[in-house]
Amino acid sequence: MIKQDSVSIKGSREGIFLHLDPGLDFQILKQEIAQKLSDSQSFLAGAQVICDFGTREVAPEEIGELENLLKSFKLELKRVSNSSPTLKAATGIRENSMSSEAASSGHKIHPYADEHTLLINKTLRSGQSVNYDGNVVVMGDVNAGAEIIAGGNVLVMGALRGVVHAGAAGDPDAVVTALRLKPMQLRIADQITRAPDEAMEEPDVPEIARIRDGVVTIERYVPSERQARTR
Amino acid sequence: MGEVIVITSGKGGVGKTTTTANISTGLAALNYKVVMIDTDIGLRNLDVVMGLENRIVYDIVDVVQGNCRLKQALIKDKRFENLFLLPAAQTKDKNSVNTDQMKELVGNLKPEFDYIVIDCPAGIEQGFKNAIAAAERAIVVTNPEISAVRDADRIIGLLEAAELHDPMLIINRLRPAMVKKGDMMNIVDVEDILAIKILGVVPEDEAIVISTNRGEPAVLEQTSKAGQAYRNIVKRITGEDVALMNLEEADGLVSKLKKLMGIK
Repeated sequence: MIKQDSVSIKGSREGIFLHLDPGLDFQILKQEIAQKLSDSQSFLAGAQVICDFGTREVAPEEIGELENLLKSFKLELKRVSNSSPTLKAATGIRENSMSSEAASSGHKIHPYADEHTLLINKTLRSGQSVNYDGNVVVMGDVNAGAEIIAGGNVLVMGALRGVVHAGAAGDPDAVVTALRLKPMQLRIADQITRAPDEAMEEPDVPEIARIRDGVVTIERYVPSERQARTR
Repeated sequence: MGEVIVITSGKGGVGKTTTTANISTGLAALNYKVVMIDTDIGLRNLDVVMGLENRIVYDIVDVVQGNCRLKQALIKDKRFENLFLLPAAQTKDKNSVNTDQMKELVGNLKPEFDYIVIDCPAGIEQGFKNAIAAAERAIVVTNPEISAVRDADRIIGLLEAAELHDPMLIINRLRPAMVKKGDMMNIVDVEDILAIKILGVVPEDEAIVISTNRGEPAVLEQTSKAGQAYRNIVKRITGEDVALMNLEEADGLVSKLKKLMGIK
């Protein structure tokens, strides 16, 4: 009989955290993950998974195996992390995360390979807030006092006057596009910009905001360019 | 069956009560049977603006708590036989009434009146919820200034969430001279942000201050510009198609002469 809590699942804004018992044999661990996931498959499908190996040392092949296992459950491995016992004791959570790309040596994992898109068919007014893991498209305005927090890109088919956070889970390639881009505050991944205090010229063309050289830049939207991030 | 209209704004001081008084009086002047309900419990004003303060015996909380019959709490207006006021309580607070009680109360008034006009308190708490609970139509009052417009936007969102669709906008206290100089938001600026139908634009008018202090709604004053604006709003509420009035300041003699001679 496998110990009940050798795998625990927790939701977070970044995705689903799988905490894995570091003391267990990897193959048994895989069986255990499979069983846990089959219980809640339909509920979790499409989600991104962060695997926390605790103090276990993981081999690149093991990460590949894990990724395939998750794929069979329509889940996507976003990153893996492990932590030294001292750090874990000090913070109570896993830190010291190593990039899955480095760990799986050449095994490129796209963090947002399968994003969903939420279509909002109205104007977002002051006090209204949208929080979504994927892309958000608004068919209307986003008024001052409204906010959108999206894991992916944000597209506003109207005037954007409120606060938008694109790539909220840390994706620096996320972009914000609006027919009239005049936000109070614009956040992409961990970058925050705000509207200048002085009155500025109002845009009269669609514009796009993205991170270039670590700074959020706003430029005129040109459809012929490959604007969205490449997959 | 009467139509239930709530007058709301979010922000305080934009002219909800003045608007309620003028619209209701204007409707009554057109021979509709009208009742105003003041839901600003604890901070009632509508009775003062209507000049009916000294006639209050029972109020909305008395009705809800069963201390009196609904008919006993209704105050008949001084000017119109067919205009009534259900005053708010001054010594209680907004939580003395809940939304179900409000719906029942309005339901009892509906068969008796053509229009039930509800004066909503400022804010978005219980008082607001009570005021909109029984409403079928909403009129959002705002001023041409950014804070009032922001609050109006919030209110429109909340009205949508409460399934009170297609609210209409009254832009109150517009100062045409300031708009002309670019010192005040104009109608298009406000319309751009709020994107709802404009029911009317009321210019800033000293007559309102005077009439409010006297307890005589300006809608009855033929010479007042604000009064004219309210009369037009009332007509639009009843379904008549009235164009927005020209709010340009009345021309002086010199400019009139210039116009006559074709000099701009």
